[in-house]
Amino acid sequence: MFIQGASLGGIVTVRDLEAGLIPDVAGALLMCGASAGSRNWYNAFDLRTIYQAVCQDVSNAEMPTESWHEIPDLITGELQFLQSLERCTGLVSLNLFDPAFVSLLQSSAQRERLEKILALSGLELEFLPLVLGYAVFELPRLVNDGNKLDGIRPFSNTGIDFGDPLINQSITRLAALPSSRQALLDNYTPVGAIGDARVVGIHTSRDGLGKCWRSTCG
Amino acid sequence: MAEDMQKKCLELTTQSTECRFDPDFEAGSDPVRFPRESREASASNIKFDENSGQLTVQTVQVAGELPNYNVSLQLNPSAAMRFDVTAVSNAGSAGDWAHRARYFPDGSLLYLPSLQVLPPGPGSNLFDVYLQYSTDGQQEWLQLLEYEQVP
Repeated sequence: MFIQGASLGGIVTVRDLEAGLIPDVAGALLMCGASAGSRNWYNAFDLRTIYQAVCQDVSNAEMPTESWHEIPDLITGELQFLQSLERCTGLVSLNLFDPAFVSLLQSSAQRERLEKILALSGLELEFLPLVLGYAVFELPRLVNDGNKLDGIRPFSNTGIDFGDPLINQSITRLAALPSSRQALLDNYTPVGAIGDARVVGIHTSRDGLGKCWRSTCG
Repeated sequence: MAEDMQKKCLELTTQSTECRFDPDFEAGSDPVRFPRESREASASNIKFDENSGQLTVQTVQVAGELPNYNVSLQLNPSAAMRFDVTAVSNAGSAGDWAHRARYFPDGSLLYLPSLQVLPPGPGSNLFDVYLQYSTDGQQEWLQLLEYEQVP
């Protein structure tokens, strides 16, 4: 038997393999699978804090909520998200118009901030709005929803060196209880225990959404 | 084949960046990984003396603020895992960022990285420790929430 899963279905597929939920699985196909599991959320959390640190001095470029764990308002939140992203980086225009034209509209400060966010986060340009969108709109639901983490705050960055003195000084620092971190990892992080099954994963080039981690990289 | 797909994609879209079929693509040994694999060593000097019950922290920073503080705590023998605040002194302003003890007012959480337990026993005697600040208006104390051994 062969099983397959795409995106979030990719991690469900890996979970099924590791948990032995489906008998006699010979192989699995993961298409852009989030095979690093819940660690993918660190990616979103880091991007949110990096954005805030880089764009904090730009007028009207704040994200729709002051805190990373607040749920934004519907519609007005999305509008503010796009306006803020545009003000800080010019990225919305980049996605709407011809890049040559946009280069005339994008200020050098916007370009510098955009490049800094990309360098610090390790993301490709195309993935920035998507991952930041997850960070702003989905991450608060993950931590607040009673059926998910139910108020647990699992993200910690107290000891992380972001490689930039100004960002290190200004970025929002958080510590998380070990039990909170574990609660996120438990739901669900693969360990590579897939037995004899063969797994093939295919990704968009330089996939910035479904990154891999340790045992899931091989 | 990838070349054909790229060509077709470019014919169909106005956004050339959407077409990412790379005929020269090779699966390398460097996939996109998480950058936050490790953490910096702690710059704070934090010690807990098991014999005296004294816990000293040099230095702790309040999240979002510049000043550093030195803090002394004493294990309260009549309350489980409660440390009474015995002294707090200003230790000047923080310079560059460093991984150090930090107090988070949002949640009243005190984070103590790489706390050293004295006298040293077998194995690692370094622990990351998490305590919660409380006060009844007269006394101030920190309650141990959780800890984990630093490898």
